[in-house]
Amino acid sequence: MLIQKQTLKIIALRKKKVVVVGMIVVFGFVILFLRLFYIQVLNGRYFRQVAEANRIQRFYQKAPRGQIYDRHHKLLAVNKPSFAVSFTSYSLTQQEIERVSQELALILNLSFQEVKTRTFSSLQPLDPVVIATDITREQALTIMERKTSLPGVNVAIEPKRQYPEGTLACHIIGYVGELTMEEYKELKSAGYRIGDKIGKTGLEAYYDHLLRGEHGEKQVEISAKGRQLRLLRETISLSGNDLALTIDGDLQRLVQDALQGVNGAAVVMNPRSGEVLALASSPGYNPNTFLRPVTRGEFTYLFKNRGRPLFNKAIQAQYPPASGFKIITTAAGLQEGFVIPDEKMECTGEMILGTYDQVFRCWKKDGHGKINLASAIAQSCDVYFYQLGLRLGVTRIAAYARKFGLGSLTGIDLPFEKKGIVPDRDWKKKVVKEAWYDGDTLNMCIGQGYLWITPLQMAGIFNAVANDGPYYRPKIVKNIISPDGKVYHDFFPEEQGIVELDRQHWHVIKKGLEETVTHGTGRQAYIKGLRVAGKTGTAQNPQGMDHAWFGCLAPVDNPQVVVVVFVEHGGHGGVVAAPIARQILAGYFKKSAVEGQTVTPEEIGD
Amino acid sequence: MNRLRFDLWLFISMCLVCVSGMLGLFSIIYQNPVAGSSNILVKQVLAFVIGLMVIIFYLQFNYPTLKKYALGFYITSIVLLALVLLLGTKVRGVRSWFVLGVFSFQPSELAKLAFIMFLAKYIEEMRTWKSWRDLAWPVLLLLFPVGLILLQPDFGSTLVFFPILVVMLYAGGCRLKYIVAMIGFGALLSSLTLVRIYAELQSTAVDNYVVRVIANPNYMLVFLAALLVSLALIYFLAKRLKFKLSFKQMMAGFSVVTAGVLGSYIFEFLMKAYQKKRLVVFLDPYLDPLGAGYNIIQSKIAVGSGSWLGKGLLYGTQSRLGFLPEQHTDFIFSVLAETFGFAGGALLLILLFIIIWRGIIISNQARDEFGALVATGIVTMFAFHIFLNIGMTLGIMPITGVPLPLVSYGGSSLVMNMFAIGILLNIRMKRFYY
Repeated sequence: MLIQKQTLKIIALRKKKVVVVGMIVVFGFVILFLRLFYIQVLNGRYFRQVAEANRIQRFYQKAPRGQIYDRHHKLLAVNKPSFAVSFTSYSLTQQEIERVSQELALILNLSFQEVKTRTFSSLQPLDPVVIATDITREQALTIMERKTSLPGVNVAIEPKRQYPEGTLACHIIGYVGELTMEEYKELKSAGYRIGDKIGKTGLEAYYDHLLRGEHGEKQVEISAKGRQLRLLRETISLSGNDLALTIDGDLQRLVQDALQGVNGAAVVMNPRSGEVLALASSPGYNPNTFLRPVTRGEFTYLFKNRGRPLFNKAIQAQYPPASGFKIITTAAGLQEGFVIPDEKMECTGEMILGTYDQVFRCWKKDGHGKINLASAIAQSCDVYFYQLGLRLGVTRIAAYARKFGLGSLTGIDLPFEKKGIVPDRDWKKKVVKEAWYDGDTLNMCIGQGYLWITPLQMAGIFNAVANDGPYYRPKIVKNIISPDGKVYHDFFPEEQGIVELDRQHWHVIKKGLEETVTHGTGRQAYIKGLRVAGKTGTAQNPQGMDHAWFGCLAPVDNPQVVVVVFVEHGGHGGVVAAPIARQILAGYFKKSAVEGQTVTPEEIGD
Repeated sequence: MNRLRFDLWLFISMCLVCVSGMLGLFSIIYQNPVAGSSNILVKQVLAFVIGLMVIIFYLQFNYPTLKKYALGFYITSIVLLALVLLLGTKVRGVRSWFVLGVFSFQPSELAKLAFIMFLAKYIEEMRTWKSWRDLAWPVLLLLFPVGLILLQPDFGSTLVFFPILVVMLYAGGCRLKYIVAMIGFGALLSSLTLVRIYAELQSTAVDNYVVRVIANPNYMLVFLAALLVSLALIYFLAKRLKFKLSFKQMMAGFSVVTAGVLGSYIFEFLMKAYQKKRLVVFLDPYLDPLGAGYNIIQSKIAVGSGSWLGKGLLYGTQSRLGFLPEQHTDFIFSVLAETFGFAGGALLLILLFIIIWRGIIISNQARDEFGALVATGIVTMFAFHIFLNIGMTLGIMPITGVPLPLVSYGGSSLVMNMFAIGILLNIRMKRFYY
């Protein structure tokens, strides 16, 4: 074997170069090796989770919300099955997604662009996006038939809330809406999910935890193209609880009709138990509006209307109680011994107070002359009560107001209730930063000034009168019925408070109140054959028209019902509110509501 | 056959690697009937048997005979590449296959080996490198197959020609400065293209100062001008200090940079939108999570979820449920890594490394220049494919559609790669034989 010198030289040179190539190769393999170690060993756990999330798709089955019905089982809130289309992109290509979008747009009568923006809106391939809700049965069937040519498209039956009676009891029922991001963050741990409906107001909000039920969940293994291969786990959805209300739907309808055209509220209660038979605020709204996109006109009505349709005036409107408060002044005066029923006081139409000669007028310019307590109530004589109020002083009056439940929540099972204000020396010092004057006492004892109460609190005053002392917490839900039909909450009367007066004092108050209706300022609420005890009220409003009040109970000897009517900017209570109360009473007792007497506002100006 | 001369390590590693590929195909067939019908495994086994026969047959010859046929080989491959453009079957938009009944043949696989042989013959015969003009021929030899393959258009298959050329020239004694210039040109061209496409697709990347300069053609012009001026300054300064600097060399360096910059623009101009996306998406798969990035994301999930020991044969969820794309070809390594975990993946890497390592040793021990160069070319071809393919499945290389040699499904590729191994075996066996 002969090896040439030159070849040897070349070979020596080459060996060096091969070492360089070998080093590069080794370096490359080391990189691959480290990368493999990094992905598989250091991040193996993470990628294992991602792979699991990849293959398991969770389908949620929405639970039907509990139904709401009135005391006669008239349905007020129900669920209607509706079809919803969602889309999951899986590993579909852009062209496939576009084709699916095109086909869906045709079926759903939507524009291609609209569908496309939704199908492309999901960044995570396994996150379903909602394309359309509440599609028709025909559309749903078409989609299901073409399932093979519509990969990733899923039609689900979802219970959809519906309010069959529309505006009836809207402020009581409330409505549901999509869970907001803030609500979601707060309620995530309670099992709420994005896209859930949640009660926004009314009973829907107050009892949301009982109404919503529990979602069902299906875990399905899927292929990359979205084919469902096998069921891994399944839990069945659990319906929410039904609510049976104390509300009488027919009476509620009557009350709402009676309030038609005014801004105001009315409450009808059973004084013996605290059951709320009707509770209305006017103007109302149709809660079904919130279940679909709100139109511009509806939006203007709901949010810009001066009557504030969404505001439940029966529990949220706070106004001076006006002459209705005279019941409390009377009760304090009698029980504390500052007046006896037969004591007559002179009313000249005004009262001059203190060193600055402040003039406090009676609503009746010419005065009522010498009258006793019952007549003072019936005629709503301010001057009589000015004198009584001065004798009592603010502390006693405020204490009695609180005994009647003013200044605190009634505790009705509705959200956003307001508690009003019972002013006294401390309150004024703290809030108004002024001392309490006698003039304030005069304003307070006839229910004006700083006093604020809600119509529901006014009903509480009449409940106490009706029961001669005790009054019960207003309640709207009579029974809570679980999905398997068991009643797990039964209604029971709950004493909210008690006003302890001697029996004869209650008699005097009732006599005065009955006289109000027969001869006094409340004559517009008079019904033949029914003994009604009521009180008018006109809350002074320096900015505009006064607010009208009328509260009453009937029949006097055995009270079955308390009715309170409040009309914002309505004018005089006896003129505006009393006739509405008469309509309600007539409806409740099935009596004729024909006006008995014609009266002039001058006669019943309170 | 002398047992001592037969490279058993290489042969057994090759067989094991092929078997791992069949195991991958087996699991794909049984896990996911949609992704592959059972005859892909049959075809692969058949190709393996043919490959073995080719090896045994070829071992009867003496490899220097290849020198005689190198030109014919090369011309044949060029003709086939031209013919495939006319008569080939279009598969997924690429006309690169001859389909004859059940069998199909990809001439670009042949062209790689033909190029290696012909280049080795050329370099050996040239002996000494006189000037840069000697580079003209090798580059021309490269341009024919590359141009024809680009017309198919199969961008991925052309890539391997460049490292083969550079490494073989280097091993063949080409002057280092030419190699450096070529690598510099290639690196500049590819990195500039990548950065610019990335900036184009990912607007936030433009916040980076360097990216902003590269992405803006005006800045690049300013940069080149500044480079020229500073080079001139350095030259004159050096001259005054009586410090010798080659004007020619400096100008050569400058023209390489300029060519790289200009080339990157031409390159970018030639590429289609989807190619651009695929090329850079490994830098950030979430640029296009449902499109080009999807493959990388799913492949990384598959590999990663394999963890230490894998999910076990037929239990890989990513491959079984079809999340992994192109399982039997480009992403077969991901299937194996998911199924057998780091243990299996590392083992496969080691086997592949043994093949490469034996190749380097064979090249080193070859009895003549031609054998050494052919072995170097084959090693480069394998190594480059391995780095590109596995790097892609691990998310550190662009998606180029390059298969994993000996493992990925593909008959002509398997037979040709086994033939290449056969050449290596032959070079080793005949190393003392003159």
